[in-house]
Amino acid sequence: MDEPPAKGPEVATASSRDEGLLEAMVAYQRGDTEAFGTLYAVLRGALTGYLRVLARDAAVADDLLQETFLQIHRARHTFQPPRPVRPWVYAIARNVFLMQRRAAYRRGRHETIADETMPDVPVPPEVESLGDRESVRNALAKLPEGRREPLVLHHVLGMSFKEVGAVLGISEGAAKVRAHRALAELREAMGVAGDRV
Amino acid sequence: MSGRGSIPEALRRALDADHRAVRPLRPAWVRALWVTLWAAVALAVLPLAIGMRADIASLGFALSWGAAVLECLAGLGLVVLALREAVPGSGVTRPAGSAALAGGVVAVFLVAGLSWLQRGRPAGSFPPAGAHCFPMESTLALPALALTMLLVSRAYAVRARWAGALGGAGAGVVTDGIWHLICPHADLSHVLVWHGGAVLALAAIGWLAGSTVEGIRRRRFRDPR
Repeated sequence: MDEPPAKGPEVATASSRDEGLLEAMVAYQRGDTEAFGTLYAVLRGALTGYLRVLARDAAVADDLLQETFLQIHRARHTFQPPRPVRPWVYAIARNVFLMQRRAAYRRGRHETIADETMPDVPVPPEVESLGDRESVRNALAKLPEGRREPLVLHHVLGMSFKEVGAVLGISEGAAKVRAHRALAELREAMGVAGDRV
Repeated sequence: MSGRGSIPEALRRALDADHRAVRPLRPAWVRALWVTLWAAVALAVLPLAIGMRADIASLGFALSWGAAVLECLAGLGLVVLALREAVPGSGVTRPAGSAALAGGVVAVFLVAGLSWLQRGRPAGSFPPAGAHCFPMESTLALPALALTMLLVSRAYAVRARWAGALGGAGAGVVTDGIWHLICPHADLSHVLVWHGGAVLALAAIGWLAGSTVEGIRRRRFRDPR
């Protein structure tokens, strides 16, 4: 469970995998459990990265990954081919995270996460060269949640803005604006950090 | 890349316990045909069973049956949105959903307003007469709401409350279309308060029903912490 999540360049080829994902998903709906293995192998790394960005806790994210795949299994009949697989999967992952956060809140565990903490997550290739990996992660952690998510989904996980909008329940335009603002803020933060050094 | 070897044991057990083939959900508009069927039967039966409004002849075909059918279609549009919302990654955005909800309420008021103008603008009263329309319309809409929520719960709505509100409002607007042929009160204040109130109440009931769907899913959720 301690394996690092998928990195930006690896998922840059995500669109080329979509067809394979769709085939695997259709086979899985037909009862082929080997196809689930394919889905698990292809999606695990990127999903771990996404859940780490959401939960900002590697251990929680790794646990949520298993729950996400369980929910994917339970909800497999709701996938409608030939729609793309990834928005469907990430919407479920996001829902699992929100359920966990609500459950933690209800149980009175107000675990506070320092603003600057962020586990090992993939960072946008656009800002990777602006500083060391840790300072990029820290700058990423300081972004508002509503902007961090579109940034990661588009610039790290390689989803189109239309797909990002589908995952977050916002319009394509809103997803684009939020991601661009987040990237600008991240660049600005990295520039400030660079000046200090 | 493939194979089940890398899948954790607990997850593999859950898979093995239920690995049957499943049929993908039909598109939202196809699933909404169940509610459409209910609406068609109710539209054909209820006005005859309860009795048409006395002034139906003076309204003319367009403002009576035409308006009723148009209102039903507007309501069914909201039901389709609710069923779309119940599929992860294909929901409507909040602004679009809010606009659709507002459009449903506007359809109710538009039909009422045009009928009011056609009937020679009868004076309203305050409090508006005909309070019984509120419980009657709400009760008649419950089967459509129940059907919609059943379809929502069989999918996987990540925002079930939102889907419920859309479905509730849709059921309300469909029923108001049918009730337009029955309700004898032509004054605008009556429609604004009791008919509009029923649509909003049904949206609220749908929201609560969605909360229940979310609650059931949360109980099945295993908090890893």
